Amino acid sequence: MTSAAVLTTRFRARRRPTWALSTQVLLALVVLLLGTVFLGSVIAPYGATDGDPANRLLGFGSAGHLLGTDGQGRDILSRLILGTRLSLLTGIIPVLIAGTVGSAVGLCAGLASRLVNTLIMRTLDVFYSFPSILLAIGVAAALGPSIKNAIIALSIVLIPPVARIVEAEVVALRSAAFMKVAECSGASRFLIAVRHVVPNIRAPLVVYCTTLIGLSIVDAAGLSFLGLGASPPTAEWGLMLNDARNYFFRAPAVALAPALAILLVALLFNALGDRLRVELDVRQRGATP
Amino acid sequence: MSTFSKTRPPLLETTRPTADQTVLRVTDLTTGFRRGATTTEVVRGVSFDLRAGRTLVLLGESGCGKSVTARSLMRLTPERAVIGGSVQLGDEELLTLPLADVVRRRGKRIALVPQDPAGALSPLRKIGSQVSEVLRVHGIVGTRQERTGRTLELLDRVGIPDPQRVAGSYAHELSGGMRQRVAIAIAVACDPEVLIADEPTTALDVTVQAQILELFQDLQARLGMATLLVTHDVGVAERMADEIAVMYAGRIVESGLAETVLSAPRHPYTAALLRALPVPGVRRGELQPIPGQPSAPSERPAGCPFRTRCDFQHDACSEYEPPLFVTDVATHAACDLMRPSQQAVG
Amino acid sequence: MAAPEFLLEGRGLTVTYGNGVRAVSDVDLTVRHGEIVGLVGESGCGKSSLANTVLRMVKPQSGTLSFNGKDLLAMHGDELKAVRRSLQVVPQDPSTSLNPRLTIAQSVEFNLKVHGWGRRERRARVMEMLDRVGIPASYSTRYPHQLSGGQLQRVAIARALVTDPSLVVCDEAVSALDKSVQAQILNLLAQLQRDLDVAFLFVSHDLTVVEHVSDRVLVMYLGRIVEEGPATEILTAPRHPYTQALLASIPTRGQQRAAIHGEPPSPVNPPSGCGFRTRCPYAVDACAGYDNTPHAVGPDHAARCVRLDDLALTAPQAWRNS
Ligand SMILES: Nc1ncnc2c1ncn2[C@@H]1O[C@H](COP(=O)(O)OP(=O)(O)OP(=O)(O)O)[C@@H](O)[C@H]1O
Ligand SMILES: Nc1ncnc2c1ncn2[C@@H]1O[C@H](COP(=O)(O)OP(=O)(O)OP(=O)(O)O)[C@@H](O)[C@H]1O
Ligand SMILES: [Mg+2]
Ligand SMILES: [Mg+2]
Repeated sequence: MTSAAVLTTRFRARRRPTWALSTQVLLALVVLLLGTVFLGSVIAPYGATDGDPANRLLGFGSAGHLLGTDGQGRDILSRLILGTRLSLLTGIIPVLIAGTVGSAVGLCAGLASRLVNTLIMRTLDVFYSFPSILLAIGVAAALGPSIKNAIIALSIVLIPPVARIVEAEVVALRSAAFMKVAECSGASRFLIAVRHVVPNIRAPLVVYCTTLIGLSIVDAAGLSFLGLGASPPTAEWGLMLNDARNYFFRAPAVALAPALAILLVALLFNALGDRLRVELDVRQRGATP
Repeated sequence: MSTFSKTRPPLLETTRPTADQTVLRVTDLTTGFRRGATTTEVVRGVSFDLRAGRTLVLLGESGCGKSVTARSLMRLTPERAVIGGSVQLGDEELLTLPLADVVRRRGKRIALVPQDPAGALSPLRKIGSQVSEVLRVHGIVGTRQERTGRTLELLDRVGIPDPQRVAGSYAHELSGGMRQRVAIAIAVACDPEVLIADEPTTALDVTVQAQILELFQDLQARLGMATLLVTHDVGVAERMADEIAVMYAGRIVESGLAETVLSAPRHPYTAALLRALPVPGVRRGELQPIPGQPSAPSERPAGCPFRTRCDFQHDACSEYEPPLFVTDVATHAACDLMRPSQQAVG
Repeated sequence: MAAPEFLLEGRGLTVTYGNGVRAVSDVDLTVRHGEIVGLVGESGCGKSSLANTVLRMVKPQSGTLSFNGKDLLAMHGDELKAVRRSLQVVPQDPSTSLNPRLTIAQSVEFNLKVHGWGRRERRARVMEMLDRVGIPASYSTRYPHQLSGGQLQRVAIARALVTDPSLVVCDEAVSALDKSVQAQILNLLAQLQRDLDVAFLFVSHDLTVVEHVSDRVLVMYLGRIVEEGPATEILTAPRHPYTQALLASIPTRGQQRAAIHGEPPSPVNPPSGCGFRTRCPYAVDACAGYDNTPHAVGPDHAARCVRLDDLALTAPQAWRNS
């Protein structure tokens, strides 16, 4: 009730997710992930393609096969470990590309005149209006199935959201008094962009891109799943999921391991992004969750 | 501007406290905010009385705890606030009453005029319905027709030139001054005994501010409510106050009759604040500012919180935080120089 | 060639925005070398629009503007950049006036970098300016959020003065500060003006502040300068009814009635003739046809009102006795 709205203007409280992992735990997980990438061939108990048709579709915890085996009798744990590198790469490389190109586009749009801004942003909106996976499928299909093309497709898909985030940040920044002062100082647009704008968008950009990695990994897996990315018998999580489809009713556990891996890594990058948001803020640096 | 006649009685016939009777008594009010395991006290041991028909001005600079004090009275503080002390409205203790009961008294017996009416009025509903809702919620007037009539009367009472039109418009269509008038209309809709106004004119232009201040005085003369006016503007305090309480670092450091406090300040902070104002006759560059700035609640020095900025600081200042002493001009000042033994010496 | 009489000379400046708002109408604005000119008026009357015009942030629809005898409006490229060096700004809001990601030394330094100073000279100059505005050297590596509002405004002033400008525009530079801190900043500005011989265009809605700090005051209403004159005269013998109303509206003890009623009309379709006539207690029919020519009422003192002569306008009571 509003006896009245007048009476209930509240102090705004700052929210912080209660489930946030501490920085140390997150860093440990990242180290673990990197360890898997670099030492994969050492720690994996079997090779990626070492099939043993006699031991097909073993369940979790079978002797010698901790996570069981797939339809061709290959060790799922080994394939997961050895697939990490490729799955991460297809997650990270598109984000790196899109992060660079997208922020350049967003920066230009944000600092440009209104007309140019409208032109750029409406063009991006056209792309943005498709669901990301749909667009990726379209582009990847047009380019032909291969890992390289999947990465290109994902990069293209991720540019509009990055550009939009950056543009929004830049536009918000433009109304800050220090931007007016910078313009009045006679500095060129380029110098203002480098000195005043970039430092202010860096943090939100890094944060956003980190969360995009999760999305990109899922999308890349999706492309592989549809046969538009890595091709068999490569070990790659999306492909493993695709493969597991054939035995889904007989041995659902085969699908579970790669699905969980994708989910957990995506979540990890999301949490990492959240943590970076705090760590990169000069005002809150060091705040514990 | 308003068309109401000065002699008309209040809209509601209720038993009103007689003039000068204490209607709200605040004793030792202390409000802190929890943060993790620690609680930072931003209001510390504030006491004052509000009397019917009189205005107490709470004067102080940004961050000294004025708004938190005002909000604590109505229990409008967030959940992590810890409020101690006592707030007596008539014979009820507001701090121990169940919150639901306090909410029921808000707007009816004790009302708030906010600093920013734009944020307090709903952007989605017409002004008229927002005013009449207060009447409905508190069961003041029966039928819808009666409420509409009363709403227009209220809008007219706060000096809105064309009540009919304003009642049918939305908040964003009104100017800042008009919005503040609407907020005041809502606040006085139920003839509250106590009106709390938190910087009601800070966002307004000076010519409009003068109109709103005039409105406050008119309403008070007619309705006889006790008013707590929060401001950082010495001029507004001078104009409106019967009594003044000067706040610094969460405490009242000086209080008393407005005239006396302003003409014969006894706390160095009050004196310094008055001296710092750019008044005619002071040559350019020769203002006497207070050095430094107020310290944040979490990093206040021990002893008197003003001592680090004070011209009169001496050893005793860091030893204890002076309570309010009675001064030679019958005001109260929380300064060691006003300690009875000191006064005898000085 | 002798130095021009005015450092800044604007004639007939008119600013109209795309939405039809005429924020500034036919304004003459002059600032002499080393002079502090105050611009006072209520919210929305066009003070910032005029200030931004001077800063070349807003293009006037008509009028001329010269800086140091050169046409400011025609400048571009390197010439404009060179002028910007001697034309600086101190904005209102301390919380956004400095880049939150730069240390305060970096913020001040930026202005020098723009104008091609070497690294070592920059560093020395920044420290000198910070010292001048009373910021300890140890603060130079701090970020804005670690400073108080008053300190931030000091840094903003240091940044404006670091290139040794001849005119600094202060748009509500002390409005967001507490009174006790405001006095520090006002003293600082006065001292800097004396020491560095820099001129200020000091914009504020607070007449007491403007009067205190300025040599000359312009009073603005609805896009026009309604009165202009020496600060002391504006305060003690205001001639325009609006200036009088402004003075009489400053709250003081014992004040009862508001001086004027209503609120300024919308700048989208301002009243014909004198813009103040809708609220003016002395308005007559002739006001609607007034062509807004200024009338001199003393040396350096002019007002725009048709009734200046026949109104024996008395100065309002002295507004604060102490
Ligand atoms: N919800 C809150 N949580 C934590 N601290 C708060 C909260 N609200 C206010 N404070 C702190 O309490 C102190 C007093 O705040 P308050 O709003 O009462 O100041 P004020 O005197 O009203 O100042 P102003 O003139 O700026 O309105 C400040 O230091 C402020 O940071
Ligand atoms: N960029 C803009 N586009 C359209 N209208 C504008 C713009 N900037 C200002 N205005 C309008 O011009 C008028 C004058 O605005 P201006 O900001 O110059 O006033 P001001 O005197 O500085 O007010 P304040 O005291 O609120 O800062 C106002 O009606 C405002 O709404
Ligand atoms: Mg407040
Ligand atoms: Mg402005």
